[in-house]
Amino acid sequence: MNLLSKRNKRGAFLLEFGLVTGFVLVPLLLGVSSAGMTMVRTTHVYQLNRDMAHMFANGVDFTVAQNQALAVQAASGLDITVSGGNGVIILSQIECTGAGQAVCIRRQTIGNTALRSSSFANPTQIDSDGNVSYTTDPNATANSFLNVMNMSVGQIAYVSEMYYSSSDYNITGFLTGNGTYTYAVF
Amino acid sequence: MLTVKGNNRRGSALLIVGLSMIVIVPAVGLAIDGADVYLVRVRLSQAVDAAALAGGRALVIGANDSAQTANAKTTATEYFNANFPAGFLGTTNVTVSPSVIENNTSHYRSVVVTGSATAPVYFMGILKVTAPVIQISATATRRDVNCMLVLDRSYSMVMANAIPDLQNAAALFVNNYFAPGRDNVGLLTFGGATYLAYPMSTNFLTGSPNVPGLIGQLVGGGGTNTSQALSIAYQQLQALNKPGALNVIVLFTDGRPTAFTADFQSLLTKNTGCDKTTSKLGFLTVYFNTVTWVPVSSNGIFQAYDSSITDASDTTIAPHSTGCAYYNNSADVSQDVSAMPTQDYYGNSTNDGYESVDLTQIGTPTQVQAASVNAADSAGNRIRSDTTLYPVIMAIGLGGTDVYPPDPAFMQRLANTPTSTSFNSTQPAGYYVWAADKSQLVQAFQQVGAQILRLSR
Repeated sequence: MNLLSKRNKRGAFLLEFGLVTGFVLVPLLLGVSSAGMTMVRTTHVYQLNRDMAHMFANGVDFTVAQNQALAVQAASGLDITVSGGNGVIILSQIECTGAGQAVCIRRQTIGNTALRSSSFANPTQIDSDGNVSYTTDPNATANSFLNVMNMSVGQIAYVSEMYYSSSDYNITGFLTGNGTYTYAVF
Repeated sequence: MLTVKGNNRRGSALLIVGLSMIVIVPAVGLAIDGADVYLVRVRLSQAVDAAALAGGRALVIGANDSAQTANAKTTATEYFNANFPAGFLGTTNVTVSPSVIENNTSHYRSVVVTGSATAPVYFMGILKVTAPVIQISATATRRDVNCMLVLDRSYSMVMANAIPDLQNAAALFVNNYFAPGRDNVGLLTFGGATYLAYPMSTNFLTGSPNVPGLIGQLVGGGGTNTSQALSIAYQQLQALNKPGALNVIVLFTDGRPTAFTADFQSLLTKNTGCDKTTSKLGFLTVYFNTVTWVPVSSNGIFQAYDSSITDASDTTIAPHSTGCAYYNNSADVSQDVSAMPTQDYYGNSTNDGYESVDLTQIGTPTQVQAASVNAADSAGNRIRSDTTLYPVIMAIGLGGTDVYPPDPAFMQRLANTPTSTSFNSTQPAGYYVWAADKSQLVQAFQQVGAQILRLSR
């Protein structure tokens, strides 16, 4: 009788502990881990995007293979290659050509372009140096950028957009996110 | 000994976990809030960095120093706000404070941007932890620019109807990339002869005439005396003498050098009636068949300087030449002059450089061309060797107009680009951009302008 009672009490403790662990501690641990990884990744994406924008504004040409390799190296830790991987970096030189009119005059991309397109312009007539035929390409229009920043005629902005997919965080099937997107205007 | 008896054992796990939450929850909150603060810091850093750089670029906008300063501050604020909108990441009290510092001794201006924001504390606020204020500064420095614009107006430009495109691109370049009242810009045009259209001045936009206006009057014609053009441009930089500023020569050309200037007096060894007691300063050039573009003769000695921006004939015989064979027929210059000199009028070597040459073959046009290339090469080397002004040469080559377009290897060598096989790391690295046809000229000048802005920071 006493032996059975002790077993019942031990079982109750284990059951309580199991329930608390399963419904409180494990979700808390997963949540904190997920939030932490997201924070780290977001910070990484922000910093990389800022560096890319800085270099682009300073005249670094990312159509040159050596500079592309430099960008991929800067993205080490993230799965980004010159033309593939888990993220994409979209570099645009946007010029205001008239009141309320902005066009993308240069476009260079690194990474997996299938993941996301630019939020501002998606020109199709681009030469091997990244120069956009903006006078003939209707897709070079970047007027939506004017919602981000007012521009005066002739003003140029160097914009870097970066998207990094979070599909690799899909550990259990329900942690999938939409990824991290950010932009920098230099 | 602490024991749990009877029914007290029930709920003990909950009790233990509940008590541990007093530690776990603040720890988790600290981690999340700390990461968030770091994220705010990263983004704020991006915003002030972008603002400072954009402010530095905007220092060229405005008719005078105070207008440029105001523009720089306005632009810096706009770029800051674009990168860090109000309320971004839950921040409050976001401020940006741009300022411009001038150094008129060392010829530079700095845009200093300080941004601050109060980061949110979602968890630590419960524990009455004060929200941290993050403040970050960034500085962008722009050196004043002294730019001599050297434009090739040779006959091939006329034949290809490329002069209007050049005028448009060059005028946009002058209008967009230099700070009136602060930067010095000059204009020099050249064919076989050279015309200093606008000595370097800070009034390049406000003067009458101004540089864009003069560019609009440019008339084409003549050969390609690159060495003289570079040498006179360098003289302008030397006369201005502003060490510390960015001293740059922007050379536009659509062909290979075909002429050089020298005083041929000491080489008048033939008895043709040429007065040997007076200077024979002028340029020697190559004439081409304008249908086949085959070099046909060496011609000279022509007057080395044009009289106006619209003077481009290049056919005026040099002074004091009456009695010389070339006075009546410029192709007979070899009847008067025995050889080409080892140095041109400006001290540039004609026989030690990019191409092998036989200076005694003055009547052979290809040899005159080789000497002309060498003189230009030597001029570039001499300019880049100046360890006081550290002049930078930026070159634009245009294709599609001349049968003998600029030699890319030579142009890279002239500009001393890091990609050149003869790159000299002890001299300032320049920049060379190739415009495949005249429609790409605006873009080519833009690229050079971007490089100048980059170097001037």
